[in-house]
Amino acid sequence: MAGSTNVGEGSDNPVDINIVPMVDVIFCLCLFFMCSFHFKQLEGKIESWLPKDKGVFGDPVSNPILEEIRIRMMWNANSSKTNIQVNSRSVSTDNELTAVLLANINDYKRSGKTDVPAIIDAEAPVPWQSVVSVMDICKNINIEKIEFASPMPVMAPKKP
Amino acid sequence: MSKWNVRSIAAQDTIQPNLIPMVDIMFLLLLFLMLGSDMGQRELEAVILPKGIYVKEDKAPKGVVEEQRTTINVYHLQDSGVDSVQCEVYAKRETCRNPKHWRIAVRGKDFLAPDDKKFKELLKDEADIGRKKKTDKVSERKIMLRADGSAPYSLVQGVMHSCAFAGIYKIECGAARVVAESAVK
Repeated sequence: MAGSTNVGEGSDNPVDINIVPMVDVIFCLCLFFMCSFHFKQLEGKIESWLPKDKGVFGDPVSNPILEEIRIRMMWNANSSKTNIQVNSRSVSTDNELTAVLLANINDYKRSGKTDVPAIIDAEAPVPWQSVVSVMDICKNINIEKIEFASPMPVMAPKKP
Repeated sequence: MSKWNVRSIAAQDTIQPNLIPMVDIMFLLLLFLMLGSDMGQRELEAVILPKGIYVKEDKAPKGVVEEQRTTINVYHLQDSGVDSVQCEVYAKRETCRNPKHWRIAVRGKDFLAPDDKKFKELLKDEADIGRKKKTDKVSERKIMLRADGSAPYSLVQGVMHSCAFAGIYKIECGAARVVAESAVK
């Protein structure tokens, strides 16, 4: 009868393979992979080499000359926002931060200093996202030297 | 005898749907899922990375062999699973400042805090791999720091501090690349 058998099946094919168990297995495999599947997020990186000759590696510098752009980041619990200051000047938006940073870099360039680091001095409760956003802006305006301020370790008093 | 001449229809048990196209499609689906899924060693924990516009692509330039590196994940405990925690703050994508809710993971091994003795020992071992001479103060070993965007800075700072103490200075901060609005325009 027409339609009762498929082309290449039944009378044509003497070996009748039961493919139903195979379909079951493939269904199970599909289910497993679909449950464990996740799309890969496009990830990038921001290189931030820690200074080799400062902090835990270096000796404390006596009479340091402040040639730096210090970006203070403070957490405001009331407004749940991060307040940013660049060398004690408050900035409220990313554009303003970029403008202030560029102005600082240009000032240093005019006095012949081209390799001035940006020091991110963030408070402990500041979200990492805010810090990364600042690093991102610094990288965008070609500030290569980004440093992180760290609390000085408590030194044991020297024995007389 | 019935008034109506009803013909009884026998159930047809010989209908055989053609399963072959379905099997073909399922094989293709299976192939896609198998190739797309990541079954490698779980170096990367489920972390919602901070977003950045000007982030460098995490890929070595052509012809350059990428240096071996260690990946440190700073992640928040999930609300389900073995080591789970219910955190309303994190669920709202705000910064959770409860240190008990955070873990630092290296190759699937969890540490509670950056000043964990075992974590420092691990970093020291990693740093030793990158030291040219045993007496070298600093190591050339790279660290990829994948911290959740909602993590408090103190936690990330602690990890960096521990790296610095171990002699590791090459730190890369993981960030998710977003397309800038200006670029879209």
